Amino acid sequence: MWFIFIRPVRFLTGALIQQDSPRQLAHGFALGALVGLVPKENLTAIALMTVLCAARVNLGTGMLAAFAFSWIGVLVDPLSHRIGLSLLEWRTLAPVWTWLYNLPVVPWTQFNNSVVLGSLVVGLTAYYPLVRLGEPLFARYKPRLEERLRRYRIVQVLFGAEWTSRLGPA
Amino acid sequence: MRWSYLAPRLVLVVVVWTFFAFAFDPLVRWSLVRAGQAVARARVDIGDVETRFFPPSLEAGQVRVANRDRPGTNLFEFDTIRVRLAGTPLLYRAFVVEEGTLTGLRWGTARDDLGLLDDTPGVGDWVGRSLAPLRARAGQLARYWLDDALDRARQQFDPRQLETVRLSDELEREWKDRFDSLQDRIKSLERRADVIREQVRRSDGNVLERLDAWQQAAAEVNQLLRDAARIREELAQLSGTAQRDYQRLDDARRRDLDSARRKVESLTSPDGQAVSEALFGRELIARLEQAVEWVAWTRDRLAAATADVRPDRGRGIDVTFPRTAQFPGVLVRELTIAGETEFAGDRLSFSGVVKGLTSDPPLYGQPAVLRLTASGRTRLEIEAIADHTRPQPAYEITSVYTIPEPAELELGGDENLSIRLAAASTRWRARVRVAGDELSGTVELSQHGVSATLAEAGDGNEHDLARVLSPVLDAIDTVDAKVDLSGRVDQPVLSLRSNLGPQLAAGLNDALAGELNRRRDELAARIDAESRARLSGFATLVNGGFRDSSSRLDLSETAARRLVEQVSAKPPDVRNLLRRE
Repeated sequence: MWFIFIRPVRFLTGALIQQDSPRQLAHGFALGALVGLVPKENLTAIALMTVLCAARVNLGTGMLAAFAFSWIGVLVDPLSHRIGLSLLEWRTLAPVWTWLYNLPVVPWTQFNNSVVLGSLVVGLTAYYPLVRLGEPLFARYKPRLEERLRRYRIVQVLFGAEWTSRLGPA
Repeated sequence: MRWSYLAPRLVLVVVVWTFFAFAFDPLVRWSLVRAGQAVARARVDIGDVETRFFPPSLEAGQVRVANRDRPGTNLFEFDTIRVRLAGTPLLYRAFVVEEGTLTGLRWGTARDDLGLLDDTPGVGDWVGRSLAPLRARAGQLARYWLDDALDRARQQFDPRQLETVRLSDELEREWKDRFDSLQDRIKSLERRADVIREQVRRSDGNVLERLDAWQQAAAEVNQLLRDAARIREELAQLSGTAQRDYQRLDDARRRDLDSARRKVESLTSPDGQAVSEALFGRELIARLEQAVEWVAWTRDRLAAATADVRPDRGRGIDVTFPRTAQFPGVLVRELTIAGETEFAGDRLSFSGVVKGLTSDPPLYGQPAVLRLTASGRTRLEIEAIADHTRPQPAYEITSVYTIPEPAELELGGDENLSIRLAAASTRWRARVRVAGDELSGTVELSQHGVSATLAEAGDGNEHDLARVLSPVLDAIDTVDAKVDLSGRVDQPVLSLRSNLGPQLAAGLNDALAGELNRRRDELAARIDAESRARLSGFATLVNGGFRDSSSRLDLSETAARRLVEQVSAKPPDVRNLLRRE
């Protein structure tokens, strides 16, 4: 039974120390930030989450970033609202929004909400800079982090549990 | 196949399945609670939610919505709701309930907590403001005739109201003052006579000096006699004034009698309209208030339901764009409801239907309609229409309340007099329409197999009125009353009419004719007796005053004349006078 509780922790630690490249870690982080910024009660958030899970990026850093940026998103809301509202009220784009609004399923994305659209734009805009900034940082600090994590007894226990679980059925 | 490729995809599948298997229903439940709380502005509890995709449907159980105007109670609660949603609008994020069933609906049930969310003002303010003018008007109607009539009847027998009494009191004071003044002046004469007498007795010295003293005494006595004569003249003049005052009193007595007759006769012609208003005003307007309260409730809830519901964190605003597919955001085409309610102390099971409840009435183009039929020992039918399709919203509520069994109703409800109606069957029908601030409507009462009796609670003269009304009430078999409402919410105009009012008024006129003759004569005799007693008292006072003053004056004059004789009978001896010289 305790295995059910350990598994997510092990999954997250494993994601951090697995053999992903710094580029994958950086993309995971940027994508997670995007997921975190966007309000969650819509199809946009679900779609972004799906992309995070499906893409060949580091899921652990993505999850951590999503969690962290969910809180940061609250602070960024006023900016997101202004950006989203100005885009939604921009006459040139009105036909595009109207067309999207009349497509089935698309209204569930809540793109017509100023904060959803604004935070999506903020997240997408920040995506490339986050990747560019994150990649060298992960390249520099990931080996050290991995080494330190492996020293922790809890990590050893977690991975011991993994092996035991593998041997168990055999 | 590499695990690094397969694992994320497997995770994705697991996440999607987990979401719909375990997280979707709680998420829908959470969204429903939040939306419900935004509408009710109070706590909303939902037990469980189950959704299906093919066909789209939703089932929720144990739903409780707190009443923010009555903390600790639920606005309503119900056991289950099952709705079938239209698929196509759902693709466009529109919730169109094609049909649904709501069971176990109950109002006003108790809850463990207060159920409050915030301190924003409730609907009570609007209701209170709207009903205050109606309540004030009801009070006026109920008190208009009976109180006035009874007050006037009481005043007939109050001696302080008689002009004779008031005038006689005033004259009595005046005449007492006059006689006191005369008595003082007569006493002054007596004192002066005593002084002269003493001067004469004690006169000494030589003859010339005594002669001077006597001459002076004689002059003073003459002056005293002249003053006494002047007082007697004044007394003679006062007798004329006394006669005029007596005449004034007699005139006042006649006027009192005439006035009393007129007042008594005015009681014989009560207006049927006034009697209707006095009897039915309070009861009919209570029903009217109830209907207006329902309208206010509907108005407030629908206003909240159609208002924009903002997310908790106030995250942005939704910009809407023209839609080719015309779906309101929320629409309940038809929802069947059933439950229990309490009305007028009776537990009623009800069933009904709600149609056209929507967040965008102008787009839907039809008003929201609620029809309910409740039955138990009594029967209640309600139809409520809320029309938000036009810029000026309109609300209309029609309720029909039928009591098929014998029921009692007390009319008047005044501390002075009221009429108790026992009817074999009773039917109330109320219709109120509010469009903006404009009010219109009617309340009707219809009773058959009526037995009317007087319920007395007062004292004194009501017993006589009850004796007069009894034969009239015995003849009443049906009662129909109607109040028409128009005007504005803050200035309602009410017009009330009933068959009972004119019936009672006519009966009063007939029955009171003989009674009032007797009452008039009795009253006249009492007023006459009181007035005559006052006249007699006045005459006694004046005569006594004259008599006392005259007799005292006579005594004073007699004493003065004796003094004159005394002075005249003892002149000084001139020889003695010469001898001394």
